Amino acid sequence: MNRKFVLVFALLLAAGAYIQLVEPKPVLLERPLSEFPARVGEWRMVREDIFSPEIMAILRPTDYMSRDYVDAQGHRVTLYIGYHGGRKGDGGIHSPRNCLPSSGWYTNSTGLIPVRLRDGRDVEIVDTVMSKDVYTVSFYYWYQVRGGILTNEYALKLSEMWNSIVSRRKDAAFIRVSMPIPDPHAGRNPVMDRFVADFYPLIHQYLPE
Amino acid sequence: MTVSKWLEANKWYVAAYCVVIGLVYHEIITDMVSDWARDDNYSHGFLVPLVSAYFLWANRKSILEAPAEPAGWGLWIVLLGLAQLVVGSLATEYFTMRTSMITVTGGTIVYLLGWEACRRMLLPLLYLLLMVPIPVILYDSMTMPLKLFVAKVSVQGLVFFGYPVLREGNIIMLPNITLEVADACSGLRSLMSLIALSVAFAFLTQRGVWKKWVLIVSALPVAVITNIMRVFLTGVLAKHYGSVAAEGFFHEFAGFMVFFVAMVVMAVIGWGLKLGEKRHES
Repeated sequence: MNRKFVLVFALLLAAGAYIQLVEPKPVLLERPLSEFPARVGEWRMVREDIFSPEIMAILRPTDYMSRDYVDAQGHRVTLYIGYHGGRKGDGGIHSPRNCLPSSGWYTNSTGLIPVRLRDGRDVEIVDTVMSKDVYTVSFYYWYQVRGGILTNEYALKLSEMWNSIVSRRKDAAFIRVSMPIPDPHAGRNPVMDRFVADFYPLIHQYLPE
Repeated sequence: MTVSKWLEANKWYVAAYCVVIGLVYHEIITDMVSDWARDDNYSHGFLVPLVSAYFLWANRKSILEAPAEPAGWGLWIVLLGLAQLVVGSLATEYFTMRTSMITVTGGTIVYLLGWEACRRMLLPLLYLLLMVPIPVILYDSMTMPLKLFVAKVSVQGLVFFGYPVLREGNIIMLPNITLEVADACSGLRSLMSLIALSVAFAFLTQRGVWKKWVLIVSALPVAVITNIMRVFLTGVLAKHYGSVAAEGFFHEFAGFMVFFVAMVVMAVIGWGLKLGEKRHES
């Protein structure tokens, strides 16, 4: 008997069995995102999008919401939350860094900015301005994993790996706030800042720690 | 003992190895194959294992004559490959999962047959890496600047020849049509296929190490230049024939033509490198 071969077989089969049997446990939301309030401070929900089966087949989130809110001055801001809890068949998070440019969006600028919350804390999130045809849109986005905020895809992947090994879960959420703006070089958008400050604590409550 | 004698004695184990790999990796393999079928950028994936098998066959004499001197280090490479598999599948990181197959096989060869035998099988083994799609994040960060470059140069060409045109990022606006230099027409779609082909071509036709590299590296400018021509010509045709020139059949046909022209250019470069060789010898 070739013992070395047998050893390689045993190792291969053990690794194969491990990935088949020790799957991360999905983490479900305590309250579905559909229960997310339609009124938050002065913001009022004016539209809620239900994604088509085609989009859902690509995104495969565990739960999601895509809504438009308007404030008293009529500023209209879109909020998307995609929650990926790690059920079998759930997809991963699609980073706007990949998806938007490859569907024809042009990145005017992108960078990290601190946003001041109501409790005086600053959170660092991604601020990016993209254009397609005649539209220019300001996007703020971040990833939330177990209560913490991440702003890049590599860190997201690493934390997913780490959590899978250490605590057998790989839930993560993607939060994107967006609003059309007239000029790609207008600089920071105070309406978006206010929106994030108003919604951040609530989003935090809905996602798992 | 040579590899040839070793193979004689262990052929059933080698067969069993293929079965075990198939068993452990079947989901990962079928998933990758469906990527090849779905993504134009990786359709060359179907060819890669065949080319790799050809390299194995072409080098069979040297491989079979290699001494079989097992090296314990190989086991560590196997373990590294398996760590790749486990961590990759925990994080759903496909590149890591898929390449682990190649690491494990390389490690097994070192462990059972030694470094020298592995060295002689390195080309077919490493060539297999080209069948694995690169992570999207990396691929996009590499190709985005090239994409913008293609758009910029084609627009300058169109302006130079008097076509009224505007560019915003990778979007080209002609009076009657907007061209989007998106993934499919950036030239970077065909880039991966062209690299896979140029590596095969380099090892099949060139002897000198630097000549192989020249041929492989030239895949990049060839892909970029042929795509600038494509965008430019689409712009010219769109001006005269309207948007049909940039859609449907013409679009597909142009994509194919660009790849064909790129291959011809690569063949000419390969031939040029050979030409120098002959002159040098005589």
